[in-house]
Amino acid sequence: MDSKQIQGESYLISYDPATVTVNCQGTMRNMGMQAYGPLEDLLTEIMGEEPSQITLDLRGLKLLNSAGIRVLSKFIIQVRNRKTMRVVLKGSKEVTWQESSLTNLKRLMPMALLEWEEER
Amino acid sequence: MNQIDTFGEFIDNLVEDYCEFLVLGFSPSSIPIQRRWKNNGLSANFVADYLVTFLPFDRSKTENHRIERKIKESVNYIANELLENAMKFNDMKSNCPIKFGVHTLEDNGLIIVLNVQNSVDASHYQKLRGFIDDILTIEPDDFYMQQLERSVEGDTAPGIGLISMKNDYAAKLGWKLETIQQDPFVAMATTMVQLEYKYGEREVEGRRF
Repeated sequence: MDSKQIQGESYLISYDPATVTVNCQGTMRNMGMQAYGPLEDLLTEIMGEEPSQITLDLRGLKLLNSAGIRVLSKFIIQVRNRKTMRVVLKGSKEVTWQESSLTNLKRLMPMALLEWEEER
Repeated sequence: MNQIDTFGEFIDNLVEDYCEFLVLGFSPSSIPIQRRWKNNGLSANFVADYLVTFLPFDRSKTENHRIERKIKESVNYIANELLENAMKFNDMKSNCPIKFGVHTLEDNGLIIVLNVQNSVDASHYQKLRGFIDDILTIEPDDFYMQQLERSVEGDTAPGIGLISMKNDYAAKLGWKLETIQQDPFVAMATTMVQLEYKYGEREVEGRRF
């Protein structure tokens, strides 16, 4: 799978196949889960290649609405159900939604690895 | 006489107790929801930026920057979610405006109250009543997980925004439902979210945070 970019009005999602990392930056407040289709398609395509680990680097994602949280959760649960790969979430405690919601999602979904790092 | 029910932690007569407040109004039927959607985020950004100017912080102290950022981003998230819900579930046929408000109160700490009022039809009224019953009675972590799992199954799984406010931001939630018309049925639904920041040991501008 090649590298890929999804450019939104206020966000940029890029995929690096070398590290199997999806990097999300900006503000994502799309209207409902359907409007996250391109991101869901990208995540499904990556899962289809069955890597042992997929990293979501969210440190540069300043704001995310609850529809986006559902998309992330859905992905984590789908990976959990496959039982052959794991998810690494890279978050920043400098971003409130990440400190608040990622901590709870990690608690609710122990199979995801959560790494706190400073934003690059 | 209109039937009025309140649930959870709801403050009536909010305006009479205010310290500072800002109220915004929207006529949702004036432009399509797809075009209005961006406005939710813009309004939330504005409300959050506006609110922090009233916070009783000494901005020369760097340790206050962190809590200021946290309050600003929390208010931004919650305001956006409340507006998104109001736009989604508003009864467009009723022609009632959506009203959004943010108030700050002081009561041994700082309380930020965000509320949104929109009209709902009979179907959404029943769904909202069911959701309120669930969020007030089911164990919070179980309810969060249950709704997230429903998302995977393609279910619309309502209320993740409100559940995350409660679980992730330790917000208090309350509702007021007022039936204003029977045929056709129209009710005004007000959702209220309270964020509390207790005054702690550090003194900030004469107050303790």
